[in-house]
Amino acid sequence: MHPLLAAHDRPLLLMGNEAIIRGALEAGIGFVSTYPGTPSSEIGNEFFRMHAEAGVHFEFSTNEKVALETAAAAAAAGVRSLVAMKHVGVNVAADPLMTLSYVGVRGGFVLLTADDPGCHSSQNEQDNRHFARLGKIPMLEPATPADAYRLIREALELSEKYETPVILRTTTRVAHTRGAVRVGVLGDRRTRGVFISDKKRFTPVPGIAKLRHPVVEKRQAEIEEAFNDSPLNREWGEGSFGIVTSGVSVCYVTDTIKRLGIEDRVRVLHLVTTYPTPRRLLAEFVQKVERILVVEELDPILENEVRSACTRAGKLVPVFGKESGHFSPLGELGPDQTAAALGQLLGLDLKTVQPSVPTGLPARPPILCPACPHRATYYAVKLAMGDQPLYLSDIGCYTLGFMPPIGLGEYFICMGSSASSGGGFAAVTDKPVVSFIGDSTFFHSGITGLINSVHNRRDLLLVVLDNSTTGMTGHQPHPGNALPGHPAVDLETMVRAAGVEQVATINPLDTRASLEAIESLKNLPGVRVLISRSPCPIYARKTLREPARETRYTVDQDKCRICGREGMGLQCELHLRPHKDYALARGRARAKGGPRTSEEYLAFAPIKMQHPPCEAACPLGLCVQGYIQHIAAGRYREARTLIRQRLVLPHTVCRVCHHPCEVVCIRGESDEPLAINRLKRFVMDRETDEDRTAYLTWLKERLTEKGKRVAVIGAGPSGLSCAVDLRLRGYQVEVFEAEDEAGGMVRFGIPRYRLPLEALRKDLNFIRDLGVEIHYGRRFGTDVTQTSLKKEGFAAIYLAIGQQGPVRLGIEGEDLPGVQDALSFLRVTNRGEAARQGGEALVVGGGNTAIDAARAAIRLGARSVTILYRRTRLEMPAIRDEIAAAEKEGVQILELTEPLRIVQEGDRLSAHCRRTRLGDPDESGRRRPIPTDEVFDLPCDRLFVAIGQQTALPADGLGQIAFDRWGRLKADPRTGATGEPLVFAGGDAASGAASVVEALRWGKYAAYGIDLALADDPQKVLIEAWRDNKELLREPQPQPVDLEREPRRRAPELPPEKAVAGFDEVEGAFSEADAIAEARRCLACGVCAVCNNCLENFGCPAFYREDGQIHINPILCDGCGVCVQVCPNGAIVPLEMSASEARS
Amino acid sequence: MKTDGTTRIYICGVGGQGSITAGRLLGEAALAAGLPVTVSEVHGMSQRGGIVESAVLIGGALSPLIGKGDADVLLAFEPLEALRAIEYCSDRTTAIINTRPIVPFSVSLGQGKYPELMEILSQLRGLMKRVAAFDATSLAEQAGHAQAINAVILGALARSGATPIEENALRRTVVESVAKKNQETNAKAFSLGYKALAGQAE
Repeated sequence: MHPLLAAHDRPLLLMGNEAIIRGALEAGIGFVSTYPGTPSSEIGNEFFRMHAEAGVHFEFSTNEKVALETAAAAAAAGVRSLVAMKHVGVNVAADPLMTLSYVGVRGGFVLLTADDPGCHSSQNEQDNRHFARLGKIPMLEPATPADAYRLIREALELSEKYETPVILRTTTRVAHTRGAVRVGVLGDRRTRGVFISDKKRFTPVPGIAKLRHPVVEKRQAEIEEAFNDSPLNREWGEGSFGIVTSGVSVCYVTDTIKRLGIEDRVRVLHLVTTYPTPRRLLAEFVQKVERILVVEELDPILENEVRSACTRAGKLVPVFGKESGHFSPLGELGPDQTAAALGQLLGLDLKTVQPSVPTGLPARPPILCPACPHRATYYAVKLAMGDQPLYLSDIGCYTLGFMPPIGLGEYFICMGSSASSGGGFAAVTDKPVVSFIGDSTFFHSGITGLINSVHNRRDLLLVVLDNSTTGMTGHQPHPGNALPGHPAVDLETMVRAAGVEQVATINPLDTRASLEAIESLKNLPGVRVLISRSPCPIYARKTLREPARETRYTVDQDKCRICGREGMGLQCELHLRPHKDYALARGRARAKGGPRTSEEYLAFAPIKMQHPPCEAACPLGLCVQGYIQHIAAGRYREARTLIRQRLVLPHTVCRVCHHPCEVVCIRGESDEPLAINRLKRFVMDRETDEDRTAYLTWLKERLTEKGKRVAVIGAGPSGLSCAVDLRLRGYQVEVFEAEDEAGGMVRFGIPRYRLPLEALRKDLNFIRDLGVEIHYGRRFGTDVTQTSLKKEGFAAIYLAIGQQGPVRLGIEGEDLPGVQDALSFLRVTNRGEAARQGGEALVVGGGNTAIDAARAAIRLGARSVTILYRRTRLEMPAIRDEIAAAEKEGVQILELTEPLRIVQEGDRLSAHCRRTRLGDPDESGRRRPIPTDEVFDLPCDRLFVAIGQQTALPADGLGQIAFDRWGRLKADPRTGATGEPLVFAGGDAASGAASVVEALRWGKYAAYGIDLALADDPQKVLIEAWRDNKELLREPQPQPVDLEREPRRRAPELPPEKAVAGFDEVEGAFSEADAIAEARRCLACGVCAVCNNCLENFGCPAFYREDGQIHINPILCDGCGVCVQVCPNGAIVPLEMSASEARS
Repeated sequence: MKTDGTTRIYICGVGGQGSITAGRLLGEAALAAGLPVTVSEVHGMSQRGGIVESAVLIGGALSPLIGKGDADVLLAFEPLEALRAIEYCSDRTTAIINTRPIVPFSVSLGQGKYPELMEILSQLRGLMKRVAAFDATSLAEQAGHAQAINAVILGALARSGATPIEENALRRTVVESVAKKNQETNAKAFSLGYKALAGQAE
């Protein structure tokens, strides 16, 4: 037997809702209807379970209006009836309720409204006491479960006596509080009634309604009089301070009086019959006191009644409450507020000290359950529709979809609103509109909105999330369920009958089929309905008694593409950003045969590499794949952060880098390689001053000062790189630069058409703003020395003096006027001090300096420029694109040629040259030039020597630092350490002329070495792990696949004829469309595809991140298997397949 | 404020852990012992893995809620939620805390960091009269089912002597609240909780 039907001789611990049920049963209730809603739901649940046993008519009605109308009819036929709903349900039922007050009832009729002050589970905290006033309907308010048990009978009897509906109002803290209830015996009940026609009453046409109104008024007066003397209202205490209260507030009042020890100072009036207000009772109370505090939740309704009672009593006592600010109209009341108000008014010192909750604790919002089919539907819709549409939600479990990570649902107001407001938005906005609505909610009040949208031809996709139950409130049935004696109403039939032609039904657990169905509806005009049907797993198990799923899933860490390299000092927090692009997942969901597109390749890539070649080849170890994937997804800020984390001069490097990453790009094996550096340029160009400031602030917030000073010699790339890293490690850094400007070789060696000053300045300003100080005109060895710096208090020195000295040809005529080392020429040019010069120029050399000098000479007016190189183009160390660009601009390249001497011929020069041929490779791996007998003369006006640089060693001050025969300082590339303690060196000065990124790399490792040497606790030094590029590049690569060719995007360039006219930047930037398209060519060969799809787009709570990996909690996993389809990398597998992993 | 002879027990945890049941069982046991009792619960959204709080007041108070700093006992089914409940506690409070964390999904999304357990406990210990912290989840698993955490916690509560309910009365309620086949698990869990507290430094 159901416990609420049994006899009990001991008190029961009943919840308020249960107490009402028992009370109603004892009072002979014959008909109960409800629509579930917290905090009233248990009433329906328990009646549903035991109504047959109890012999009571019970129904879960379609909505609250329907529930009220059926119960009212039962009561009209003389059967005692109860209709229960949450506070907002009364809004739905308000139409019949207002007129029911006019026509009245015959059998007792009680409307139970469960209000929710504090919005524990509601969309508002409306005060339903207003409904009593609006409808002139008597209202009783219990304070405890025992009260509720007692008052339901009182309410039914009151209703029957005056033939009026009566409202019983609870609040969350009554409905969901358990207390001792001593129950009585179940009485007889009447479940069959007879409706005796009375057209002058039950057919309220205007003429009859008019006649009923005076009946209502008379009834009001009679009931008020009865309430004035009702024993339900109680008064106690003594003293001149009055308290008027009702509902649960009386509990707070009673306890507080006791704890404050003020029993002898206060007089309390507790009202249970709160409407019609017992005004005489209030007026009498006013006479007994001098001040009154009204303690009630939400609106100051009682407070105003007390004020008006003062007027009636002719005694104006001060009334405190909401208006006086002692209580708030917001939220629910509690002992704290009650004690504070009483304490203040009675002049008590409460001395409350309470600890506060630490700030910043992670939130724990409710979330859709594991295996919830709604999540699968949301995922498929998001995949198919993207971020474009306006997503509307409705009321039910699925409302939770508005929160991260699903994030769908931007608007809802009440049950059923999505179908109608979707039509409204469609009428006036340009976005596609997608509305989500639950099955129960759709029956409740969505169907009318749907009909409206059909009839008004709105473009709307309505997704009915049909989980076969009313999930949020505890799995109550709805009209779509077939139960014994309750035939099911078929959703699809109903939707079609409403005039919807485009209807599809999907099983959301099948992602691909769902995706196809949604895409087929996506772009159609008019109202389309997608019925997504899969039962709530809890309902399936508990109610449908379906067996639990056996399978559990786990993550195959070898296939998961979340970044696993956090340990290498790459402080990547970026995979945690919302994932706006679903390309990966789409690739998997749509995979087909034939050559694979990038998306499909990504989805099915056979292996993932720890270090994709692009990153492996980068001297700095930039997470190339990471920033490319971010660009592909339009997350430019994240891409820049990833770049800036390891790259000190991003605006410079994105223009001048020799990009070894592109040479090894795996796409390059069967297609053109990715335009990596231009993508970097694209994303850096989009950086605004605000972005830069924001990142700078972010960096500074994380910086802890170490209170030690380090001197850096040379403001070239290597020096600046070291300075910035040291600064970030907490050191005070001062840079001493011989020139009057910073930048070293990138400032003076690289022409402006490759690197506009503006770009370099952005980088230099950033470094300055980070707090790195640069002193200009201070040459090492003369202006500053080791000794002077140590004397000034610098704890360590980094020598990055570069290679500013030219290597000479060592041939006759090298000192003739008109012969110049290319670097000096470029330095003058880059200062803007070079004069225009016509004539013919020769450049000797094959590196970037040779190309730069050649292209600069053309811009300065040279009629022709010829590069002489003793090997062939293939061996030229210059950047390929640069060679090509030079040739486009008219530079000739004479391969296999070396000058033997230079002679003056009149006012011109003549280079006497020799032809060479290629022999065996030398130690550099390039084929060695071998002289031949062929000689010839080349007349020219100028000749630039660009065959290399050497370190210009300072006159003094190297101390114990050793150097080799080319003048290169000996330093450990892993730390920058030299033979001299606390003096470090790197960059070109140590390596010989090398690339910018190579120089930056020296600075980075030297900063690490210096930090290690100076730190108080070397254990705590952030490790800059050594990266051996060659070793990293040996990692096995995925097998080549049949890849669909996608041509490399080209950025615009100045046409050669315009380019040579000046020093404007030649290379343009990608358009956004091209950049994204180019970035999407990336095959994401490495572990990190910045994929966080399962967490960010799907968000099953069984998933969690730990130690940089994603795992599935097998206890929470419910085996729905949707994640297997969601994972773009095929990394989710049944647990059995990796049992060992599960065990660990 | 004066004491009023009521023991106020604040219970917190995560949806699905059974903390609401623990409150109800305490209420049943109090009622069976003839003590006046009020139990309040919050339903609704809290069921979906959210925060669940309830309050049990034994001894005559009518309020369904506990004021800030006014809990005599804190039963925390999860350590982060224990910390969140600190505002209900004072130097009068006895706390029984399950140390097994349930990391909120928001943390996996990078929205916040789960505090270190030691940090949580030291904050609680700095405030309260007594903090008993142990892995109640593994004791429940040891007893036979993770769902028996509430029996473990109530066993520890019985040992603490922080409520007027006698151990045997509480044990009986806890055991008899479940179907016959699960009674042994609950009895064992209750005993393990009881012993866990006995083993803790007073």
